[in-house]
Amino acid sequence: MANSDLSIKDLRAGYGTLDILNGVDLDVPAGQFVALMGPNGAGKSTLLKTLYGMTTIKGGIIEWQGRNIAGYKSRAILGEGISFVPQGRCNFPVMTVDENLQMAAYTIRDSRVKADRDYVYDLFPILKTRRSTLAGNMSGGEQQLLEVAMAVLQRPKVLLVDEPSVGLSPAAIHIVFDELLRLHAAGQTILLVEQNTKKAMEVAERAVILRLGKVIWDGLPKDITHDELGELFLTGKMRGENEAVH
Amino acid sequence: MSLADTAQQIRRRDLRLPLVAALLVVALAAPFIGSRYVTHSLIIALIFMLPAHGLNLLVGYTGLLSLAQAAFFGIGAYTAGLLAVHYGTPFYVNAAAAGLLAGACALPLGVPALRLRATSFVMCTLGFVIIGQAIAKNWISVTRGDMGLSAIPKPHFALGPLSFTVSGTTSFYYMALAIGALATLAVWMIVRSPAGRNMIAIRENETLAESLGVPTWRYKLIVFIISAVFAGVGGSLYAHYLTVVSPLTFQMYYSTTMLIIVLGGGAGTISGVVFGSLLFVGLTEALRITPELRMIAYGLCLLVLVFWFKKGFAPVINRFWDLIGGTK
Repeated sequence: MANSDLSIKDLRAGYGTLDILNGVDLDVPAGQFVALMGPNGAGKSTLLKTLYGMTTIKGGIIEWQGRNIAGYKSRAILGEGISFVPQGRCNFPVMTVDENLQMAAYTIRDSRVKADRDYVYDLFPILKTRRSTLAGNMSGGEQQLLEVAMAVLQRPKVLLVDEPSVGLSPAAIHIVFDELLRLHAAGQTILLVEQNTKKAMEVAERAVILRLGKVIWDGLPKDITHDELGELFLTGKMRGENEAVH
Repeated sequence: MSLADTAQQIRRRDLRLPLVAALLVVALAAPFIGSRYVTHSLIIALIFMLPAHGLNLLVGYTGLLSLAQAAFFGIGAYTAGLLAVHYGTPFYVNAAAAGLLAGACALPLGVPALRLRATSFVMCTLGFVIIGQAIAKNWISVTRGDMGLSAIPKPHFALGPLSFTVSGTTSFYYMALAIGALATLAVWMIVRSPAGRNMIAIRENETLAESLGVPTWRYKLIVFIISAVFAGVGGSLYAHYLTVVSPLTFQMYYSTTMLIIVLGGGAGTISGVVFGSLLFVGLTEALRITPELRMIAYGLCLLVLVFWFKKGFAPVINRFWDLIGGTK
């Protein structure tokens, strides 16, 4: 297996005594854009949080660069090259865009910070024009972009993005997803959790559907229709199939 | 040129420097402008400004509510008082020892308490004040209990052959003013540094700061200790000014006064704390001449604050600052 592939085997995790993930198996090759979908409570966000060391792991393996990183703390995982953009507003509203990016560069050595900010501004020209604006004064879409930029500043090998479309206008959603596509085109591995299945199917090159803490479908977005997707969400099965796991 | 243009130009003139200069002159000339009683009130305000500055770093910049400030103030007052009474050490030694001991006491409180969530942390700090007062009352062999320490000498400086005592109200005022200015400068330097930005990050979103790699717990502990040092130094001034220290120094009333200075002045702003000290301590001290009106005036101040200035007076000060600077 190549070094920058992420391989999850029989991952079981949850919060305290509550189990959410009941044996997730998933391989994410480097450079892939994967959309994680599923009904509420399927464990999509929990899977991202578990990968970022924010849940209680009950068993299984997260293999990354030849090591099992299951049980690592968030900061160590960040150091391993995995960044996380949490759901909802997650920036420092009373700081400017520039200061937010400086905070995001906390673990990066000083001499490189400036260069890295320029790199991020090149990636997100919208932010460059807003660099002196207080994050809290920007639109939801711009704030979401800032949050993605804060994660990208760490130059992650894998970017975990949790529901970037929450609370955004359709136009803002469009901008955010466009930027994710551009990042992916530049070679970024992305693991995206998204409720907006239509949008997620448009941008991702692979769709993974979770239900009750397990992967129940894994394939190309073009291989599944919206009706079939709805059916999977509701029943866990596709028409004409007894068990939908591929 | 139309009248409006002229008005515009007048408004654009930057009046900030003249204002700062004027305030500086007033501050320096205060003992000669007002009565001795006004000077006394200003000294009390300057003394309370120190723990308030420390508390502002904690509450205003790092987002941690603490009620322990009176305890550190008391520890500082007793430390300076005991040193001065028993060993006759110079003021700067007493003040440094007061700050250091208060900071040292913050460590064993902060280590367990800062692991707790917001409300539990506040309760811990409240308990610390009560314990402090109990010790001051009951460790009679050292603190003389309720009798308190009396006859604490006025601040005494000794550097080689040079030695002098700050005996009068006016000279004490200048000493307090200098220390207050230094403390203000120190806070300004702290909050302008990268550490200051990390403190604000913790206040704004601790989880995010932590996930970005900021050692949030260590930051909170260090700020807690620094805030205690400020309170300790303030306590040493208090002991040397009043020349008496009693267990009443450890009272919740002082903690709340310090909190009102910070929240009323404007948490997370330096000008707010300076203004708040003058308003909530200086003014109420000056109103002691009319004891009946004093608490009514204080209460009215708080009501005005709660209804019209929810973020303290700092936003008003900032707007005024921009206005005279001609930027808005």
